[in-house]
Amino acid sequence: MIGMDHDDTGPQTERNSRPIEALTLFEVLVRENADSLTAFLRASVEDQATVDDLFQEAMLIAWRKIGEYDRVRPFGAWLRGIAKRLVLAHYRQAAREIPFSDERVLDYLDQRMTQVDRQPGDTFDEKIAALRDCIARLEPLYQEPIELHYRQGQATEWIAQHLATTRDVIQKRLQRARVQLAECLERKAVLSTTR
Amino acid sequence: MDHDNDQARPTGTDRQADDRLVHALLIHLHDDQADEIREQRVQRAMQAIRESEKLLSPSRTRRLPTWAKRGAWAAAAMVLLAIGVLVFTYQPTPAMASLNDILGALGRPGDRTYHINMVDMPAPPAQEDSEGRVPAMLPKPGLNDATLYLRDGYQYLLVRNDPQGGVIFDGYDGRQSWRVRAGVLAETKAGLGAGGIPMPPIMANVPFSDLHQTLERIRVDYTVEQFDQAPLPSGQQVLRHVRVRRNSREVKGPETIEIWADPQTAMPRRIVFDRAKVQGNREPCRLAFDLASEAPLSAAWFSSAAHMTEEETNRP
Repeated sequence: MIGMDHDDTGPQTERNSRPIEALTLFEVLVRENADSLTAFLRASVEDQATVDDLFQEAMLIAWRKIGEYDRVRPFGAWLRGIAKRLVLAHYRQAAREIPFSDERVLDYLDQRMTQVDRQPGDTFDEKIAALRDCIARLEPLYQEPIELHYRQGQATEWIAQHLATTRDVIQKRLQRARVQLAECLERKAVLSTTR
Repeated sequence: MDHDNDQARPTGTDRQADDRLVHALLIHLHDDQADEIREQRVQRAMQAIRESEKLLSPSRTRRLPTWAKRGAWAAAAMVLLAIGVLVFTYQPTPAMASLNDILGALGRPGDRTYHINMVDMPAPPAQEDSEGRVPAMLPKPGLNDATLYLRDGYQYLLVRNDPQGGVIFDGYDGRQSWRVRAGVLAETKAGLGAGGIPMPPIMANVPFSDLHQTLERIRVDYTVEQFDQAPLPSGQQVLRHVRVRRNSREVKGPETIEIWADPQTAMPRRIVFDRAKVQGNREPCRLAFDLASEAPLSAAWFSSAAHMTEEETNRP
């Protein structure tokens, strides 16, 4: 198993003695939790480049601090803890007065993701499979913009033209659709704040 | 209402957080390249870890005996002396000298035409909706198949396909920047950047309309990772080849920039921006600029007036 020492030199000592095995194991854990962490970061910061940067930064710190990881806790939750601090640092550095995500919102997202992690399934896709069913249950008025925007990657402006309406209307429909999807996932106990 | 009930009933802020979380889950669910992108993300992280490991020397954690400390101080003094000599008799490394030549070549008087390709651009899937209809697809606004004209290292004209039909011209004639869309002047601004940003919106995060200035950033924000002589992947002529990597994630720009330049004139034949962020694309992409021509363009080519009629007839 990856080093569990609590002093600074612990993980290094472990890495020096069995560097390949430890790093390989770490890579397996990273891969298993990559989608979940990416979803958390996507919900926490605005742009994709920052998501990628914070993902990499989180992994670097996780490896450096692997000795502090408590094996009793899920690895994904530990990674999110690191990512949470990086997101807050990111907003502090950007000197944003109203950050996209404050500490309370990040805690809330963390709880939501913890519940997603607990869903049955080996992969992240399997854990959020209920979302497909929720999309299928949407009224066509809301389902169509979701399909065009997320499956086809079309911009809201294009969808507005395609559906002969305005961009504002499409943005509103997308927002309402996401609210309904969140409620559907709550009913299915995929999204829940129960600890 | 007790604390648990508070948690069970999300507030308005929580609803916004849910909105963003569902948005993130929808992106993941519909991403056909999720597996590939995850693997790239993991491999990049692992590579960064391996590189950081190389920087950690086990000797840093050991205590040195006194004689060794004295030796280390003496060695440090020698290194400082050597640095002083190097500064005094500074000569750029071959890699930096070549980079200087390349950057200088783009700043020389003359016209250049580059053709732009978005490599690895994910194609949106055409799938049937719940009622079996295949929605009509329109091309997304983007830089694929765009043409960038440069004059003297500071004037530029970008010609790209308009998703509404026709082409969009974004230019800078040395005094003002402008945009012509559907054959009419849509926007002008004194100095660089019609629309209030330094570049056309499509290129806000891909700073290369002013290609010369963009590449100048290599000097401070990037580190030379590879320097050699190599042909283009599709060619045979051996060219100067430089690859640079951004110094940190704080640098807003492509992760790597790779340049193949003419061995004699140092003019870039191909420039590849990897992991460049382009507006409208969910994932960063790879952009390749290929030198199509160095033939002189008409004197008015970089002014808006030359493009204020219909579409293709304005191309040289």
